[in-house]
Amino acid sequence: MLTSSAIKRLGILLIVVGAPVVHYVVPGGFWLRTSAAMAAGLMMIFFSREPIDDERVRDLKLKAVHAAFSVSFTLTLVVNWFLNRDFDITRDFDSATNTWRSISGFDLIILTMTVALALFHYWRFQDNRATPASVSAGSGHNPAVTLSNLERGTPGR
Amino acid sequence: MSSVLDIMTRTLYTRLVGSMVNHLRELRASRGWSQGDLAEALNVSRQTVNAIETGKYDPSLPLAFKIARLFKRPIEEIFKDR
Repeated sequence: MLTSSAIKRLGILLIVVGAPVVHYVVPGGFWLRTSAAMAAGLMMIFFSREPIDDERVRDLKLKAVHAAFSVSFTLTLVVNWFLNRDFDITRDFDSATNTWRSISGFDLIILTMTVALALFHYWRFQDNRATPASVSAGSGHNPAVTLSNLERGTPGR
Repeated sequence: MSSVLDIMTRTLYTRLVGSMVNHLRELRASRGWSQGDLAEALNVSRQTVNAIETGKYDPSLPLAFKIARLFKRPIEEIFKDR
């Protein structure tokens, strides 16, 4: 059974080595196949467990995917508008010009996972910081509470 | 109109900073524990303890009970509504 860190390393390997190999070395390489490898790698990185996989990590990952899906779907519509100058999402391949007229599902996954990973690690970085500014701006810490108040059972607020 | 704006502002605020205040930092300090010590006792990461202390994250009910048991205090004494 693969450990979570092994799955993460495998995901990174798939993106850094696998995707370029699929694109440049395997004959008949094209973007859809490459993007599939990248999407798989990003999903392996995002969905594998963290070293300490507690409820905060799961909460942040859920929030990150939630936000990332909205962002990436909006980006998909914007990119498709630039490709087609309309919002018709029923087109997939334009045989007349031999070009894709919508970004693929794999591209959507790449966008979503990239945004989700960025958000998750940014929020995790924020969690890592003691933030006196946010404390005074009304966070969970209550400066009016002193230890003696607590001992007496009369918290400040 | 202003009440809608008020609800939106409150929702955004609670989403950003959590909806409760807590005395976790004071209690931890009273025991002379570091965030790492408390994290180890609760079986969570140090970042999670920091997020709870700074009010960015409201812990789940099981974790809140665990904290209460650890400090031998009722939950409502440690966590309060904003």
